[in-house]
Amino acid sequence: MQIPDYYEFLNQAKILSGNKALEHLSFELRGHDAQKPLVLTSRAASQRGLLKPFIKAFYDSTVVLGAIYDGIRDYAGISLARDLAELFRSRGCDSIIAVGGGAVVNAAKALNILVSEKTDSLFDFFNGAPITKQLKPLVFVPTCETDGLELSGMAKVDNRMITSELLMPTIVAVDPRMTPICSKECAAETGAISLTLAAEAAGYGSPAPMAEAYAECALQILAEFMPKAVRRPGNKKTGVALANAALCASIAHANKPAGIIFLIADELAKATGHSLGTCMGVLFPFGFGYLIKRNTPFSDGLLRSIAGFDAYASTPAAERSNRGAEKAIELHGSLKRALPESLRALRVQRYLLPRVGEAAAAASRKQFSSNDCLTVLEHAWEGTLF
Amino acid sequence: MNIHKYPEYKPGKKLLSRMYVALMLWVVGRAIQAAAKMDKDIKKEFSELPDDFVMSLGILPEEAYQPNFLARILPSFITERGILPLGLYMIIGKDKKGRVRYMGSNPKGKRITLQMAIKNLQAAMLVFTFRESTTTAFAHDRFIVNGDLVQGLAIVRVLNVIEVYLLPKIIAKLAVKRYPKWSEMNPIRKHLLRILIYLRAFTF
Repeated sequence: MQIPDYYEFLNQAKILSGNKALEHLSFELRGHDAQKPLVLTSRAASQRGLLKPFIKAFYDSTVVLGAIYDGIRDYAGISLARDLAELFRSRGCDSIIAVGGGAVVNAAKALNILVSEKTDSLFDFFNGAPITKQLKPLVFVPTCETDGLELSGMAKVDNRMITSELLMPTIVAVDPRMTPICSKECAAETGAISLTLAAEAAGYGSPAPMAEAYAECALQILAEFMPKAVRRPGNKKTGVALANAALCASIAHANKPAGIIFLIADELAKATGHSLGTCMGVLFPFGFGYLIKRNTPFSDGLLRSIAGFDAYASTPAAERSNRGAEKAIELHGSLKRALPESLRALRVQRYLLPRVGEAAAAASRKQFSSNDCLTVLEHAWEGTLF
Repeated sequence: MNIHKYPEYKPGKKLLSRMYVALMLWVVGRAIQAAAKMDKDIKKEFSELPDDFVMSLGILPEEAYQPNFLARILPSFITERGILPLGLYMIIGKDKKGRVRYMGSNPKGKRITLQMAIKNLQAAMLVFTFRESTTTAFAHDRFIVNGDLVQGLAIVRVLNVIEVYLLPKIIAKLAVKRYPKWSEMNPIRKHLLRILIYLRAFTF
């Protein structure tokens, strides 16, 4: 274990996971002096009937749900945040619950800034202005959708990022009633995001013991449950396991610089409108293949967490680095049936690739060159592994 | 945005669950009072507790459970002696003569030295329908203890013994950490004490 000269780690969410976790929320909110949350959720979660058990979880408590807004689609914008702020203030709410990941959590974080800072504009925060006031308690209840940024201090609003450590959720409640996965494709996307974030955090880059611990935990869970989740998506146990893996991967990602696959997938998703999970799922084997070809030193933890201690102990020390990356690509293979095999199969236009490569390189702050990103993209487009 | 499209949701009530939990707390409370005179393990646990020991086991949040209508109109000699299951609290303590007494289900006006609470009604239902044992529920952070934790754990051991007496083996095995072997609890003594505890608990 390599201890760096200096590192920082932050995770401020209290995580409740398991049977009847939602029922504990009223007690936890009381601890934050909050009794009237505004609930945000997506239309998809509402149509799947996830709100009924959620509302019932607050029976026999003193919590009054200020309102349940279920109109969030796949995009969080400033106008939505302003409408939600008006609803929040008119009902006298004192906390926010986001049921579902991705755009729902982004909208919740944007709403939190508007109501806590008592402002109508987020433009200063896009430009790096600090958040100076205490934010309202933010509760995150995962469902099957995720974008990997829920437990980070980042909020994507109108395709622009607001970054602050204070934006992290206060409480996370993983309940088996909320996490059953709706389809194979959803399981594959969630698995792809968690695998990419965890493998990049555990696999390479500057050492960070805490972040790597979370990432290795996520990889262990994914190695056991991801193939099962894709085969039988509706199973409650695998749903909870995948949700926990997504949380661990999100925490690890929030405390380490982003890897090449995440950066390229993020830019590709912005340019093409495809979901982040699909882009990551397609790019993963090509990104890792390129890193192996570049002789990137991978951490031993990658092999140990995916293949187990026996495989780790029986592999010579000099081979563990590449073997770990190969195992990660093998694990990704369980998603093959549910995701396209190349960017061409995903109908991504080839002329977009140089632009995406340059944008990803710029976002990496010189960690990767545009040549690196373009090489990965070209191979991903053709579908030819390194 | 039309904010009237999104109404408030006030919390509902699960009356059957409340009644069941109130009944279970009452049964367990009266059984502890009876068993404290007869079972040597429970006697030993209570002898090691201070003379002014009074504990309450309730369900949170307190504000959600208003006093039962009967609890408000019945005289205090009925409510204080715990003759009826009237609330979501179980108060057990030592009286002036050092005897263990079930003191009803109203914590007001009593000097509670150990306050234990279950965080919500659903967690209490898990414990009292034996889907989770008491020790598992503690490990899952469903209880909170306000007072000396050592005394709290003594009460958990007392609850384990009471559940062995009150419940048949097939259910008690789900409720307790470890069901006592024949060598630890003589089955003849167990069944005899079970009959006596039931008789003393439910005959006033």
